[in-house]
Amino acid sequence: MLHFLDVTSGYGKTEILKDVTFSIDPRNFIGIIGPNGSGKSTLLRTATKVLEPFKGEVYLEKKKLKEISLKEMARLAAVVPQDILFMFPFKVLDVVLMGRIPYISRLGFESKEDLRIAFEALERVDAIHLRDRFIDELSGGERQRVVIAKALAQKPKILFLDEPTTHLDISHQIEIFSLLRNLNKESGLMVVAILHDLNLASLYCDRLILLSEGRIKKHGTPSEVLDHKVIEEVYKTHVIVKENPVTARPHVFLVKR
Amino acid sequence: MTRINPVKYMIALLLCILILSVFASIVGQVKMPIEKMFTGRYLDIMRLRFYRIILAIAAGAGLSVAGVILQGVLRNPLSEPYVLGVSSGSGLGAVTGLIFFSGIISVSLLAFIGGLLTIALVYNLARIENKLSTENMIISGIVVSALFSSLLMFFISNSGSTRAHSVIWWLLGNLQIFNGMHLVIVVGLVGAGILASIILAKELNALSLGEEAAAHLGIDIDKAKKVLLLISALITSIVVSMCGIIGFVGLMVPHLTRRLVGSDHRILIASSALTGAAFLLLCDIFSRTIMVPQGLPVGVITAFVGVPFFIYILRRTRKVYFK
Repeated sequence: MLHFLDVTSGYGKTEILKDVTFSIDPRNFIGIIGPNGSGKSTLLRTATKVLEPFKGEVYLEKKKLKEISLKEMARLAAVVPQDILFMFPFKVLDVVLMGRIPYISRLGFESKEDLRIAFEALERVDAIHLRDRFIDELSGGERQRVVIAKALAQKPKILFLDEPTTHLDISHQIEIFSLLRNLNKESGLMVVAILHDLNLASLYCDRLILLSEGRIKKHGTPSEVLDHKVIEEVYKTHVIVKENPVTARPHVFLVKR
Repeated sequence: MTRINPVKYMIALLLCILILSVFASIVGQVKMPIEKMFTGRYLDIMRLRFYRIILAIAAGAGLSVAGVILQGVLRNPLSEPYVLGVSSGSGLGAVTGLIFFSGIISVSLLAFIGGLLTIALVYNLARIENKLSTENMIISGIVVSALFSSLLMFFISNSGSTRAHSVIWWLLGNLQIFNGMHLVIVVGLVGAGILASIILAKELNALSLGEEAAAHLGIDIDKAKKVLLLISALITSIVVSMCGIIGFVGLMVPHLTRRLVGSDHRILIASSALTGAAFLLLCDIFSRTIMVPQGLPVGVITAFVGVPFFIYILRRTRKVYFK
């Protein structure tokens, strides 16, 4: 369970996220949406202990975040960023094994068990055949699957993603999101993803948190949040919202100015 | 590029270093008759050559590991002690010692202080609102390095010609060492630095994914960066204070080794140390055998050998290595 209680957070002295309170049920696939600069990444950084809140309290698994050590945090939560820039030629299996860093001792190498977990994670994202390839030789979709496998190797309770499919085409977007949905529904992993694409959010998320200027504008099911009035107000642009005939989820259409 | 088994690679390098050491002890200005190696006046020459071999190994290993650390922490291929100004800071300290004081102790000490002050200066210049960005670090390094280089030139141009010559000679890199105690200090400190960096190999691995990604793996990134940068500065200034400025080792050896054994720092650090040791030992053999009797500064050799080799490696694989 993730719980924000009256949290204000930001960088230096600038407050970006203001008085945010919400609770997330671990069974749900949560999408965080909102315009640029609305505080989505700040929320994620605060939830993952990269930023310390100015005020308020964050609870993860009923523990105060500030009482959780960095190492313990890395075992509880994993983060998949937009794109990791790999500067060095690591092998895919090496990258996934880095997910075991929070578990191995200072001078130790990975055990058989760590290796088994890494293989399992690679199988889970359907990338086991890539294990001996170099990470910089892979396509964007393959690389992102490997990064998700690294996150899974951390054996987290909660998976955070920051626009995980921004650089991917539609087939890879669907592939990644279906995988995330399966992880959430079948493996009981709590998934919280920052999303730019409102229709992907609508399609896959159980609940959405809409941020506007650092505050929660709306928190609810896609049908509740993706109301055309709310979206127009927050994004300051004209949209039409209709029901997707196949999925019965709301679909946001853009309108030319 | 196929990887080499790291254990076999390290064993091969150890053998290489052993053979080169034997070779290095027989060649040089004085021809060494093997049957008289350990007798009379030859014994003193042997002792000096032995010192020199050990210093070459320590300096080569140290500079390489300092390069590995900087590249890993700053995630930048241009990072090496010279770019970050540590070498010119140490150089400036040493030259100040050579001109205003005399005696090897003050020179070494000032070089060491110069190196540490430089990394502290660069670090704090690059730090904005408690955040240390890689780009700022590199830019600060270049600026500080430029300032120190011009100060160096100022000192050299204002000192007498004999002094200037000895200062320049020293700056070009020289593995001559006469004092066994100094050698013990260098070997001890460089060895301690390398060991400490191996202990922090996990942190280096995580940091090479990026700072935020490392934080998400449970690494205290600010602390890890600080300690690692300090280790690298320590190794560099110790080496510079004894040997002057030997370029290219810290840049080239880590690149080459990374290609051969991969990027896992638990393997990379030790492999780079051995590669660097063998490389500098080889360069020193050249430096003592070319242009006899005055010899050639080893820094000149490392650049002569290093540059074409580096271009060859880059061209051969034709891959964008660092994106």
